[in-house]
Amino acid sequence: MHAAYLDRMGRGDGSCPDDPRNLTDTHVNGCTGADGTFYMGVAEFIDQPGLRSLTGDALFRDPDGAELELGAGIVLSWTDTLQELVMMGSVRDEARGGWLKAGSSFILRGQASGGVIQASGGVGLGEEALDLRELTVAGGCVDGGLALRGPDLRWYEVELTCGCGPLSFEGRALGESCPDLSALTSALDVAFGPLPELP
Amino acid sequence: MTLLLLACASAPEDSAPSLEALAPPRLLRRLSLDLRGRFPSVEELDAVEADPSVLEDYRLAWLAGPELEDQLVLRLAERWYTRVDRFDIEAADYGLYDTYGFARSVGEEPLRLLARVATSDASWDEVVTADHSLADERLAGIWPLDREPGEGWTVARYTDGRPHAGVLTSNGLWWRYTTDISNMNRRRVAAVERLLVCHEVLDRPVSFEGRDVSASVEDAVHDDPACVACHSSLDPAAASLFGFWTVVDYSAIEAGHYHPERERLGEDYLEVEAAWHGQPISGLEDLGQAVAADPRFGPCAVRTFAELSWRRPVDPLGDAARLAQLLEAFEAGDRRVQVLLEALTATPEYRSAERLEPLPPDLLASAWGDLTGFEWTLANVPLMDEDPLGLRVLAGGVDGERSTSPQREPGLTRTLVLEQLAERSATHAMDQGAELDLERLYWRLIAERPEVSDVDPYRLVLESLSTGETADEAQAATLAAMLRDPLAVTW
Repeated sequence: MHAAYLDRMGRGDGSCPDDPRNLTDTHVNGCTGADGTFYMGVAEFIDQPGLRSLTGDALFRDPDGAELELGAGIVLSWTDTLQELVMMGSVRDEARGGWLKAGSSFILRGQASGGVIQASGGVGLGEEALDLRELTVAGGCVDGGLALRGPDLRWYEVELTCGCGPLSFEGRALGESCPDLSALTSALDVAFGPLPELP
Repeated sequence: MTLLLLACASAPEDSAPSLEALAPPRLLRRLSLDLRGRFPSVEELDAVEADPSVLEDYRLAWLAGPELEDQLVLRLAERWYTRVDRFDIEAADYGLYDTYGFARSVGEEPLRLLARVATSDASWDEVVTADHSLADERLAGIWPLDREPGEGWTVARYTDGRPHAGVLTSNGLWWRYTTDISNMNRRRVAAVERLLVCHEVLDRPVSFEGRDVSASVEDAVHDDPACVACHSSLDPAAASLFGFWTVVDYSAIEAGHYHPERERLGEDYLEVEAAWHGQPISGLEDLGQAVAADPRFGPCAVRTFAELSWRRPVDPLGDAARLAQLLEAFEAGDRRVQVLLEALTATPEYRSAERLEPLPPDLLASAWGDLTGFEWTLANVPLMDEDPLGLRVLAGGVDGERSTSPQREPGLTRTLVLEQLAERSATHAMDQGAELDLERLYWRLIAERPEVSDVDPYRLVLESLSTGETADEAQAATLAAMLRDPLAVTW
């Protein structure tokens, strides 16, 4: 998301927007850059040792009409021994594929330290949504609470011990479950992996 | 007191105080304004005068007519307060420039569903259980909606994973009733209580005397008896609304979309399990079902439409017998509002000649507009229907924020606005070549055959002005005066 934002900002002409990294309140009512990209709203990007953060309420429209919409704060911070991630809000990038194109919203906090990743909160991808309750990934095992919103728009919960655990629906036990967590653990690995290069 | 209530509830119909009934043409006028937003035609008035029994044919036809939906939207707005002029998210946030049109589209979303259900064969329960909303072209262009083709308001379904619960899943409702980090959807539940089960949470007799809950409000809402009096029912319902919880204020993408991943936050933040008045629920869809099953839901619908039809608050004791009859008819009619409106417009209370409520500004604008062809606009904004540019509140209307009930008494600003509207309407009519026939106009406006003494004052105005003004100016001034006749600007 940081890269998608900076890509749009990098197309500016010096006056629209008037800053290559921050969309200042000068543009709260919108402006169109020399290449036809439209910018509207406010956003702030910070990249400094120990902190990379993007916060804002902004809309970008590419010359071909594709929109990037941001109403979120995405904050990565780190020390030598601890990484923290906070994602709050919604994003949509029609120029990208997958979940970013359809739009996503989240209210998620996580941290990684010594090879252990722990996350709590929710991620929504259209009708689908996940809710993590102190979910912990360590040593190839996933432990903690995980809830998945089903096609019936209701929540199914599983309390995991190394990837498996009792599944329940509105308090009723549905048996043991070992859900496929590969996509989730991959996403967490990426989120807490090396910082991506910025454009 | 209990005996008194029982006595009232079982009172026979004819025990209600006798009300002088409107003459059939005047009743036709009232029905036409309410159900169509305009005065009856001279031909319609003549027909009813000649044979009062045809009034029933008109009434039933207009109750089934296409204009009723628009009228119900305007009347329900006086109670739902969603036709406000400004929301936290503005037209410009979507790159739109018609701020008036944007506000009306957003604010009318819940009202359109209410009115569509009310004018269809569907049960009123649909307003909280329907699997769809309604959207116009503007909303379909900005929100995640799959809208059926057609002009204007058509059935639309959100594609962002929100549950099905009628108006309870409409952006328009929750954009009007916002919340924040400390309120946590409780204000929204209070609105649901007021609008759908006719319970004013803030009217509960709670005393905080001698209590200091400032140290820990979070704890107090769970264990201080004064707080629990309201929070025990507010908080569990509020927990079901967190899919509409936003974490970035004033953000169009945040406020325009439902957030399924936040649904479960409510029980964490509020430390309660979701419920509606003690009945456990699992999410928003259950909330809609629970509201529809609430024993207050049906009576509240009856009360709502009675107040909008009678143009006065109901009297819990004095109207109890009538409301009980109406409720019986409503329930027997499978909670169809068509049945209720048919019953309501037949009540002595509706047909009473004893109340002359001022016509609301939207109705004056539409009725005078139909009569004279005049639309009072500025920058394409109808001035009688909004406030930043217009005069809605000054004319006695409801904007849903500063003014929450229609003006029921004459007032200075209303008088000045009506004077301006009448003069402009009359001038426009004369410019279009209208001819002034005082008797015919009086009949059309007021629905009473004028006595000489009724029309003579206007004839005197016309004659006195004719000496110094052009004929058109004199006629316009006379028409403007008659438009503002006290009997013409009241219900």
